Amino acid sequence: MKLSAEAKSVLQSSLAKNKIDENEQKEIEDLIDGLPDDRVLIYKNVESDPLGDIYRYSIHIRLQHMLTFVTFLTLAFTGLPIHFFNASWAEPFNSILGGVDVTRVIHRTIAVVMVSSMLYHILTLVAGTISRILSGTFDIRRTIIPLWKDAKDFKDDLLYFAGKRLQRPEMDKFMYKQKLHYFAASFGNTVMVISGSSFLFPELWASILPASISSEFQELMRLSHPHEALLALLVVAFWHWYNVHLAPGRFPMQWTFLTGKITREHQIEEHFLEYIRNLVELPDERKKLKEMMESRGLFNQSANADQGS
Amino acid sequence: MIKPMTFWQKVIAYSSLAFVLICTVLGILAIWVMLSE
Repeated sequence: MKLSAEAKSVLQSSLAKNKIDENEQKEIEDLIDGLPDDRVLIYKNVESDPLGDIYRYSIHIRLQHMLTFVTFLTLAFTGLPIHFFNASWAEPFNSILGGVDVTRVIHRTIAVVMVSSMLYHILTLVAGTISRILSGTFDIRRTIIPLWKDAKDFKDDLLYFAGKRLQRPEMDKFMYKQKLHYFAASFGNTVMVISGSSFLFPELWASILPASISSEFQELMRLSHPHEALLALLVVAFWHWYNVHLAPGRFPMQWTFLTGKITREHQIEEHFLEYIRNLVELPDERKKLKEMMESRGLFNQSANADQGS
Repeated sequence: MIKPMTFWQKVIAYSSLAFVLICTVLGILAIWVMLSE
């Protein structure tokens, strides 16, 4: 397999960061040389465990996802009946919980859990980044930070889905869609926390903001809170759930949020650059990939021999 | 090629799928009622 300039650069930086010796480097390069150029052939022929093969998310990230998942749904199912309290459909929701006053208490209590989860996430990001910088393993391409490459990947992926390109682009640990979704969720959470806190602590916000705008600010927050909530619900139902439950290759459910692992097939298809790093970091993965490709007659030994001669 | 799931793995995966589909249907109904009132 001939690597693109991007994949070569990822491979070189990964070899350097992991202080790989010459013998191991040759083994990795030989393995890559022997792979078929068509990436589709690789990911369609590797065996994957539905629960995932390659480690992707730490226990902290999984816990934060679980906290967000539970608090988000609870907040939506208590918040909407509070906002539309006199609508016919909202009355049974409020009555089940003991009346709108009880719904409000539940909503605010769960909101505290959601804010704590956000703070836990920020702490994980800061601590993880500092520890990677200190150990010399930090690589911005491996983070959720949007880069120019994401715009190119988006264009190339559209071309692939339009049938104008044979393969999907070589994407990194987080692809353009995940980055967009992550920042949309971060923006939405910030809007919800600021607007929600303005209902709970109006005096505090009035003391911070200039008197001339504090009344308009409250009005703006009253409008933003329910509308952002509805937007977030729609995004989660029609975008996130589609991507993790219904999309081809993920149906009926992607297990990563529970096991923290991604399937080999998915990693090669959508996160090929990260898979290159996996080949450098995980000797066992190299062995498994080579065995799988050889058993299917897709490993080209002569590519290595040609290189050697 | 993803290996087939075991019985209990299927139970978890399909229940989770059913849960999100029910939530989606409830959400659509809620929005429809909201807009029509």
